[in-house]
Amino acid sequence: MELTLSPVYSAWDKQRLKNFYIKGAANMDVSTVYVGEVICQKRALLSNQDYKDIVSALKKSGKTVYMASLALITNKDELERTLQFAHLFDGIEVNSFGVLNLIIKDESLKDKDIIFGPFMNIYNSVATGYIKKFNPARLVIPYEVPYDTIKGITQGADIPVEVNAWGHLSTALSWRCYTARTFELGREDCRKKCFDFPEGILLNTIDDEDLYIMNGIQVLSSKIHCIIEQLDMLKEANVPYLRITPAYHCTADVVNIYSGVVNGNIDKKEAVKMLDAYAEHGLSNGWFLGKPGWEYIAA
Amino acid sequence: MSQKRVALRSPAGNLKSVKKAIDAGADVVYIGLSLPNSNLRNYSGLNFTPDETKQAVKMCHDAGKEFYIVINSYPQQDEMELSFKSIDVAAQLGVDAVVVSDLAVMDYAKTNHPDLNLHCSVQTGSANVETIKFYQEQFGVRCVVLPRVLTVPEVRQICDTAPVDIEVFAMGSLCTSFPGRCNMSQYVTGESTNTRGICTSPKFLSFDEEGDELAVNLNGVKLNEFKSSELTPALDVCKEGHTGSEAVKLQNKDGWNNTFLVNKRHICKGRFFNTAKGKIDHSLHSSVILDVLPILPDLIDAGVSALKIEGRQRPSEYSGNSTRILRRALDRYYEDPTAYSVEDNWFKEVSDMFVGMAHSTGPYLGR
Repeated sequence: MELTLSPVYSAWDKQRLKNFYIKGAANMDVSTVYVGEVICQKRALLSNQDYKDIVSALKKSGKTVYMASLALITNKDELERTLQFAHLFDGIEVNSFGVLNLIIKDESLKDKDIIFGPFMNIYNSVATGYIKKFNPARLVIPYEVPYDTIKGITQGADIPVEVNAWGHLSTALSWRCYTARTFELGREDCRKKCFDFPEGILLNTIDDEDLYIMNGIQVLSSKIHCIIEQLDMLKEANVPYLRITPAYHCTADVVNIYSGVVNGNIDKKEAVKMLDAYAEHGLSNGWFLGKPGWEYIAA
Repeated sequence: MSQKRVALRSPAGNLKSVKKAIDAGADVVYIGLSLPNSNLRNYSGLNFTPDETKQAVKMCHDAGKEFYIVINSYPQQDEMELSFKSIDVAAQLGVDAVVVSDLAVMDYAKTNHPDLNLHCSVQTGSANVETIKFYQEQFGVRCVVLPRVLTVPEVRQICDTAPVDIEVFAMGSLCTSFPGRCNMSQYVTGESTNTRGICTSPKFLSFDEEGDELAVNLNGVKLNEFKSSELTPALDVCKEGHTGSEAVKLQNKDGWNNTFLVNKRHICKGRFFNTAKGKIDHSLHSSVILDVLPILPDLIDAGVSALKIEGRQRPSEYSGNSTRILRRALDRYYEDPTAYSVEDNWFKEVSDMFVGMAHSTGPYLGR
């Protein structure tokens, strides 16, 4: 099993993002790094040179580097801009069938890997079988898909799958920017308020229980999805890639713990205790086990 | 401006609704199909059996109207055969189109029923022209229902370049989420909107009296609380048990001895403590309904081919009333586009269907 780093879903400033990849991710025990903006085009601050620097640093340390693309594209401008740096990368994670449609017709991208991202609504092995015609290098399983379905997909279709193993869950994308709405601003005039909240805005219930995190147009779970105790199930289902979602502070430590368990150097129960320290609002694994997403069921 | 008149597509949850929609001027009636063990759209009593569907097809065709079946949940591994069977039944019954989402279901329909007219459901989240081209080129879809995420200029951009007909939502519930990408209620209940076709499943809802307040809980998560003075007494039409709101009967307490209508039961319409603001509010969404009457000319001018009324789960009166209101508005527009305006009584008629809900044009006029 190999570890991968998902795109950064939150709004980090340009320098922090560059440092994260060049000084951080390059030295982590991950085989693949996804770089690029998935949530909102307004957050895409990196230039062609920035991406070149990042890809160069990651390639030097032996990583496969994929570009992630927008999940919600509503106009021509976003369509045109989402692939403008694709030529720099080993492949492209598509999160919209529109982006897929552009790639399969673009001769200049014909040598690039295609990765079906977690926002592509692939829920069964027959649909997985259909997408084989696009020769995808990987399929990232949607967040809410339970283990039994993952197993069905891996048994029924010959595409390597990547499973979300750590991170806040994406529970919704919206036409509305919730961060802007918090400040009584519209999405078109958001003043890029997201950058003031690089870990998002916590929403508690009226009983003061943490529930969601608002991240611009995205709603995340407050709890952190963690399936470190279920790695044997994933091995049994022939899942080759485990995806870690970067967090503002602790990504290197989390990767080390997952790596330790994958390599047999850290006991799973011990790992859960260690990881729990990085989850301010607790861990969850409910969706993976076919339960409400916020539950954590110990192995 | 489009050459053909815009079609009006109305929902039906039962045969009575089909009749009312036809009589009120629908061009198309759409329904959900129920097969044994089907879980494809998960509201009790909502879907049509094959026999009922056969009757509904005849009613529509006899009246010169079209009839669509919506099969738009994403089937999981063990539901594939049922989904394929639904397509077979739709084809056998001679429906005018099926509205679908899943790649496997589309591929099955295209391969096994090449003459069956396919439409892309809103659940595909087809919000840009390249996505629409993908579905047209891969499966030959002829119409795409746009998600309620676009501005009017974006709708126009799509209509100008899309190789298929474009349908937009005109009235009914207004989600704040991108269709096919919302799992907020599944996070709390475990039941998926995408694969089970239901949001904020009623079976997980409870309405609990707490002191002098009514608490709305979803699987133990408090979504909202109301004082009795904040609640709207339910109209008879809302007591059928499958409205977009929830009729809650509360007794044995002063001020609670009535049936009340609770609109704010969907998880996105809950109240939350917003930690950036330091106060409780509707941080995600509030109780509004989509009503495009004020911008009807803009949508027609943008080039849409059809207007969709949301709400298969609503009572038959709703199918008739919403259709009648939009039919009248469309007819008025086509009589003299320059003289079109929304009359006060239209607004009231819409308000009467959605008790306690504010009107909104959603994202159409800006997000």
